Amino acid sequence: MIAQAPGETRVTPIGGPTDETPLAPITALSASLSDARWRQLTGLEQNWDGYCARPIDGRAIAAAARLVGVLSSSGFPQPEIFPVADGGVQLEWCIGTMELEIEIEPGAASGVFVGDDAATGRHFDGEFPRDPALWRQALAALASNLG
Amino acid sequence: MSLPTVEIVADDALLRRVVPGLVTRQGTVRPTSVVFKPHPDDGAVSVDVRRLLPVPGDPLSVLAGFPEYGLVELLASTVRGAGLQVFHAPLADNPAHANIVGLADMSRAESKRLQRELAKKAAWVREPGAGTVG
Repeated sequence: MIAQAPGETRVTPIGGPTDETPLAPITALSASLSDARWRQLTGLEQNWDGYCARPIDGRAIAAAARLVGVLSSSGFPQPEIFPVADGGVQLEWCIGTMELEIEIEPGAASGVFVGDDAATGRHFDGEFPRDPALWRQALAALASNLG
Repeated sequence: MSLPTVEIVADDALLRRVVPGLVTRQGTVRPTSVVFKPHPDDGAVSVDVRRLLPVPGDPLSVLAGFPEYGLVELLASTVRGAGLQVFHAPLADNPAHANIVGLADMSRAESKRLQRELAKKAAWVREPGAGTVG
């Protein structure tokens, strides 16, 4: 039984243990992304991080899943997938010298991304819906690192 | 009634719990930038000041009740060097509590860049799932 910290509501953290299941954290979801993984995000409750995080927004999950699907069909590997405390979803890729992360905010109408290409020293920091061209450039830099 | 506060000095170590699922394992194993996302309600990132813990030599006491979590540490000087502020904000049940603020006062891209920077500079006190506490 896990003790409850004073003043905090205890819920099962993402990938964390319950009394019935062993510790199975979501880490690199590189093997295969199943519907169960997305459902796991859907099932996160208020305070899943112990710092009063919000449940994950269904539209953000759906948008993230669509983006992963589109990019996977273009040859990109599966990203790591993380819940965000405000209810968003973050995707992260590290391919060759390029690192890219995008946070899809609750409601899926906006987002933010940062990318670093260690080979060129270039940074790709932008926001949706403001910087779609920069996002395409970041994806192109990521793609250039694909085998 | 507000609780008494103390100044956070440059050498103060700031502790932040890390949910097991918020660790990136591509390359260096580190907390993802999400760990330093400010809370939407108050725009702050909650931390504990190691010096102000009941037993400062036992930072893992922060994980009491969260045995599967990890714990990272940042110096206050690192946070301030990134252009952010850190203030002691004691809670009735946590006198060591402090807030990192400033991330919600900039553009989202700038904030994300700094969250990523903090995540890369954070040092593990304990990686998630490394054992149990308490």
